[in-house]
Amino acid sequence: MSTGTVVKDTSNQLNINIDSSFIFLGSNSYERATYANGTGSTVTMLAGTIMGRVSSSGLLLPLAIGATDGSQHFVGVLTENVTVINEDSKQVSLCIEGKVAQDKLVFNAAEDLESVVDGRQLKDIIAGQGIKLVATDELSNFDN
Amino acid sequence: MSIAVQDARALLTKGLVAVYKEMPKTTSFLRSFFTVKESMTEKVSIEVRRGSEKVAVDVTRYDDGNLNIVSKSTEKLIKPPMYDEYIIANDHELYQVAVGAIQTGQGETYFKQLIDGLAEDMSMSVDKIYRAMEKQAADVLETGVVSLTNNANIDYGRKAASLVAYGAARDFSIATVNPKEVFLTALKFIREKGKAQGSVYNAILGGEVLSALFSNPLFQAEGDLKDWSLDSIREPQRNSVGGTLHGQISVGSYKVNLWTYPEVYDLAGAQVPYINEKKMIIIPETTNFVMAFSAVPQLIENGGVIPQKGAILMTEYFDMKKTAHEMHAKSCPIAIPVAVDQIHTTTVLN
Repeated sequence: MSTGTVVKDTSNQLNINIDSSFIFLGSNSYERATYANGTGSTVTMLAGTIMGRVSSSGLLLPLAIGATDGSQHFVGVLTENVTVINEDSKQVSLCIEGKVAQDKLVFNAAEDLESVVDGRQLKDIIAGQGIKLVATDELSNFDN
Repeated sequence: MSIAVQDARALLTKGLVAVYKEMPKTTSFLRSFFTVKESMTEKVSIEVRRGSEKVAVDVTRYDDGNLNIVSKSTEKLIKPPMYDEYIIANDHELYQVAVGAIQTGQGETYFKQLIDGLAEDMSMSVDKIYRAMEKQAADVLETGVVSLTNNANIDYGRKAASLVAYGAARDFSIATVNPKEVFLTALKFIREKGKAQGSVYNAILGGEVLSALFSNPLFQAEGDLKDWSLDSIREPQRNSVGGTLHGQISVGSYKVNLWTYPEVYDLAGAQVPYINEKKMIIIPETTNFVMAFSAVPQLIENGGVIPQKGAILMTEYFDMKKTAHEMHAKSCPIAIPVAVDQIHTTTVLN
């Protein structure tokens, strides 16, 4: 997915930084699930967010290692940016298998790949589900 | 309107023996580092992907390898400024003479003189546009910001390290300063940040900087080394585009051609050098800069005249009711440093 960020915008000059890197790098499988927003305000989640699932409702939430409702357990990686207004719900797509760019993962708060859930690090939990985290080496850069 | 004085020329009592028309032509030394690209679009764009010089890290035999990606780039869209210089042909002193002479049998003679005169006047107008292009190139090389009057300035965002302010440690007029160390700092920037890989560079020096360099005792001493041939300073040699070559010096692993550009433009009655007298600009021998020309606004005329692209568009407009015959020279140029970090500017003197 390409993203463009405007870094200069005047009446006669427009500079856009373009990032055409991918999150999902191959051999991926996906599934759909529902996210329901009960936070009281609009929520925007970025592609690459690691997601958990509430056991009782089956609804998705961004994974939080301190949760006890089931959303502390990894179920997949969000594939697209999603914005959901308060008290609305939306079908979203999750990557559940294949190669994923490690540096593109988006964590909920203080989590990282070394965060521990039920005695196991997140990176091992993710790997155990069939997702191969791949470190990438970016060889290009934006201009001044 | 009163009768013009020149209508009373006494041809029988005096003879015109010489005419001097001061028409300094615009030189193109700075533009010569920019490749010309013409387009039929309102805007021009460049796409830049900066690179790296990373080194592969060894892996074990049972490893997936290192995944490399090349995904970042910057697109820069620019709407070039427009220049529109014109003359009113029927205000030329020979215009009405030529019209009047049609009945006398001398019309052809006067008409030829009129055409020559109009061509000269238009040439002077076009030279103004060429000077604007040369100043754009000077702006890019000196600051990285094309300074405009009625449009927003175009800023190419040169790195701060490429724009070195005055400091006594870099002042060639101070006897303990080794100028070649100042050159080397600039060359290292162009090599390391600008990724230029040539061995020969061009240094364009302000006039005062050249004098200070040649007067510097450490620079002179290196030139006096017996059986070494590090530098070659010669008599100035002007090239066809107005630059003056003073020789070539060695700096570290590089060779540097020393240039000055003793050309000026008029600004509010003063003559301003294109190259700041106190600054030194260094660029690679082979540059990656573009002088782009976008389309001048045009119409598809009834006669099927197709809009044209080019550096300068010459057009004529006739208004029979107002008895006006205007001749315009229009252009939409913009100097673009595509490889923006391959320029280094040092303020050498205070």
